[in-house]
Amino acid sequence: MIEHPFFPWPLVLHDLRGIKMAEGPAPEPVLTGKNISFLELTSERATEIQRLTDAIDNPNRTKMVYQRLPRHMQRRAMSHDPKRLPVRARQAFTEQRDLTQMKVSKRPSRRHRRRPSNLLLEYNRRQREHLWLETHIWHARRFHMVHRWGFKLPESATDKGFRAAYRATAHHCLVQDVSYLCQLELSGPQSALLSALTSLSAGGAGSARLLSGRHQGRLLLRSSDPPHRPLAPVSILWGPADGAPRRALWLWVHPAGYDAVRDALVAAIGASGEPEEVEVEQMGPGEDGGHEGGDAAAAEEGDKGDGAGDKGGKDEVEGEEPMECDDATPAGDVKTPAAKPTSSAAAADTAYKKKNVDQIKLAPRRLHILRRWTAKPKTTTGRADIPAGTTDTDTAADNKDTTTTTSTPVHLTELKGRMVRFRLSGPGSQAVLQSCLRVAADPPPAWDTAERLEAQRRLWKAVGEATSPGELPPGCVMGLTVDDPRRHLPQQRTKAIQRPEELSDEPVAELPAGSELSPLWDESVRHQVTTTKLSDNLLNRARGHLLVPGATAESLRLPPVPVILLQNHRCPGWDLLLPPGWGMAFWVALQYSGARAGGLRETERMALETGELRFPAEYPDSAAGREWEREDRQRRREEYFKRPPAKRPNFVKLGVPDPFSCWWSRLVTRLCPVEGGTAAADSDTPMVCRDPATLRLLSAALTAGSGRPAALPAGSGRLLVAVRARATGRGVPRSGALLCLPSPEDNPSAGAAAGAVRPLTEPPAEDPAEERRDKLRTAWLKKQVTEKRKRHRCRRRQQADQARQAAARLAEQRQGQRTEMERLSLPPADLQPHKQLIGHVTSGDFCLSEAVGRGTGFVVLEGLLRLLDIGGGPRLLFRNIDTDTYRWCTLTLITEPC
Amino acid sequence: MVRLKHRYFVLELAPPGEKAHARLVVNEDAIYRAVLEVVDQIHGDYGVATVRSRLIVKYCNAVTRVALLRVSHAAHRLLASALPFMTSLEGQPITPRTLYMGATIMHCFRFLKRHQESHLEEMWASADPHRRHQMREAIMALKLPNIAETRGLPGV
Repeated sequence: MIEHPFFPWPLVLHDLRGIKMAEGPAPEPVLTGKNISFLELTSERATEIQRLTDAIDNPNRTKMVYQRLPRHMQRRAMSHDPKRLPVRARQAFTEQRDLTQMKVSKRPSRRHRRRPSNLLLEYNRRQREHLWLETHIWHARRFHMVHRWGFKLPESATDKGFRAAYRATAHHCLVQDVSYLCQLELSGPQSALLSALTSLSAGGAGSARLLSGRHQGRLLLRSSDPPHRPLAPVSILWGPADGAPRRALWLWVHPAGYDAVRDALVAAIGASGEPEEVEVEQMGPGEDGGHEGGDAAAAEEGDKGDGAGDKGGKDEVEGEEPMECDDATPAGDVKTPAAKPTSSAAAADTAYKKKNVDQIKLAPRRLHILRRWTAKPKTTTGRADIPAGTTDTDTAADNKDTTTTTSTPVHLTELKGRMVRFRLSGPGSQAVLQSCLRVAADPPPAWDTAERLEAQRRLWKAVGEATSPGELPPGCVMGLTVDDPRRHLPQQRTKAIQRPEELSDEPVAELPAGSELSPLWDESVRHQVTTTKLSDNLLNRARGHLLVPGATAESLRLPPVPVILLQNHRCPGWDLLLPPGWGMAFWVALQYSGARAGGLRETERMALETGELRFPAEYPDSAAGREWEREDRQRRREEYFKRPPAKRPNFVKLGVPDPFSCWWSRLVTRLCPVEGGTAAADSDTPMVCRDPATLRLLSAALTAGSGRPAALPAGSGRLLVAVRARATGRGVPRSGALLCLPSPEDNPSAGAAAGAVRPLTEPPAEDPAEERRDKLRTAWLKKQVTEKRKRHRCRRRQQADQARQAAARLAEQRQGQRTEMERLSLPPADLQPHKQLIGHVTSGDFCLSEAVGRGTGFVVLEGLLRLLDIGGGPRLLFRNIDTDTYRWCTLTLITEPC
Repeated sequence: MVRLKHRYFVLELAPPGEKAHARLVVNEDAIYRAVLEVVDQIHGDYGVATVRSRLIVKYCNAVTRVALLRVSHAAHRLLASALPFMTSLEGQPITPRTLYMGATIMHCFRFLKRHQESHLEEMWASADPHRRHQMREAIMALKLPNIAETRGLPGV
């Protein structure tokens, strides 16, 4: 520093820092002379000193404090933890961190997080966004999980067991957790329920077969107003008919169509507004709990209670104790929690009380609350011989003889996410179920009788003699009260097979009456069974007290479980319906019996093998189908443009008009053009033809190879017809494949089938936009270079703002460029393939059961008629969207409504 | 890790003799070209190639006649030995003087600041009262450049 008595420098420099900038022009001398003046030199020197001082004092550093420390003082993870910095540097670090807005979140310690109680909390918290199946954790460890329809569902196993899953379905047993199917309960007078269902379907809900309650059926629900667009296919099961005035009815809907179906049903029964929330009261063990089955009135009775059901349930659960199992009496009676008086809950058990893991895990499902819509029927539906007003809901259960009352309300109850449903497919599901489910031994539980158990035992044995579930009456229903499956769990995984002596060739014609009854229809029984389930923890403790270490829990007596078995006949197998909370116990038992687990991929594969339509993807005229199509189109488009241009097919050259989805309305308009209003017709998805008579006519004409049938309703040409396509030779139809009419000169026996001649191909089309794309790309590459240069120049000149602006501008232009390039890469609206396009394959693959390519799809009815005109029978050309080769396939119509 | 070492030269580029106060037209490009030219004369292609690899003119000031050069450590001797032979800059006669050579730009700044301060001091000492008054006025009239403007200097 300059220390001079009369030299004002340091002082001036120092003071200058504090002076505000003078407004207006400073008295600066004009300095343009040939020589540099004294004053100019003075002021320039002074300015330079000032700037240097500033540069020295405020160095423009890019490093963080901890990076500027000398090497020997640097520590690992300093940026993470400021306490590792020297004290004098901490302040600076905090300032820097605040400037850069680095967020430091305090994560609880691992030890804290891994505490069982916190793990459980986390388990419930993670379910908030997507609903989990009860078997979620099991699946998440072995499957790729996907978000779909508000659930987290297993997609496919990580073990690549693609063919193994097929083999399981074909030869043994594949099990899937289909609890995501949403359950709805309708209860009320049968006639009211029937009228509601009839208004929403084309009939079939009231057939005697279904009404008996002994078979499950499938129904396509459609909206009540014309043009009756479908809502969703549903599985339907009537409650047992026991002569009570109220009947219950269960519907299972795919979650994609759930909201639509529920709203339609609410409107159909005449209810309105928000549902009421009803507390489920737990029934005492001694009480008669709807043993007749299907007695929804019993649940009603419970509902009218004091609303303390949940509390009561919890109290009893809290009263659990480790089971006592005397060494002297290995078959000792394990006291069930329900039977235990609450007062005996000792202080030593407090530890358990809070840790009933099962109950905590079920908490997000809110099992103690039922959401319910109620409708009071206004018209009298009862018979004339019933004196009006003699019965009301509360006493209806007692008056079994009265069939209908005038004031019986209709209830629609949501059972979504409550019951567990497993789907077992394949012939081996017989053996697997036989080894897992054993009808409970005496004494019977409060809600069942010894005779019933005996009858069930006989029936279950008889049913077990069938080689495959397909030999049983289609859709038959069986209510069983079975042992806790953990009792018979084998030591290790085994493959359950039927012994030959167990088999019989006699097909079972019909199950005996009464086999369909199940206490599971009663909400209070379900609740009780769920709350009295013994947790694994307690069970294992009891096993620890067994006389023989490691013995199975067979000698323990555990509370039995009511289940319902529903036979599937399309892909022979069983659906197993369980009360809430029992999913894992049965799932593990099924796994130990050799059932192979499958996910959504297996559902798709099964639909392919059986040639069924999938919901929602293949119901294009329903709202759920359109939604699916929109998402699917977006996904496929993104996938396509993620690839580099040279690695994606050029759909213009290949002559594929709609590569990402099937644009049905446009296809229909092309085949049967209408005058005017094409835009409106374009946006409206055409209906799918589901009229059985029309389908029969067409099907007959197609197989016979005759010409077009004469008697078709007017305007039916614009409908879509669901078809199965089966490749006759080489080639596999895949999703989106074009179904095209052959020309008369095309000969199916030549070409691929003969092997010598080249197959039919699409002649390559001109791509008019190719040149334009090239130009755009070249221009863009150049532009990027110049923009980069500009940006660097700005940066060099320390014009940060301008550099940022330039970058933002470039990003905007990049977006524009991308949009334009995508527009130019896609086929124009008027593109047509060489052959006449009449439909699309919506899903297809190599079919393992037939060793040939197969798929399902839709053709426009007008196109189908043109095919009939050609007279070549059901033979048709198909072409996948990424190839120019046409292959031959045969068409069959799908005549089942759903 | 490999460290790239640099050397920074603080030069004074003054016209020789009686033209010491003549106004120069100087910019970074001109200095860069002139330096390379003289290195070419003295050390040839080898010199040019060695020096040019990391040569940058960081800063120059036409009034105070100061320039700041950066060159790689490997080449700084070549540059230093060539600089005295520089005679012209864009056609203007010139005599370069190497004031300082540092290993970091920060030290060059410190030196430069000291250098300018001592020059001002000298000017002050040799000035008569009238001049002193003028100097004081000129300095007091200086605008405080805000920080963004100040950063005309290369970053540290």
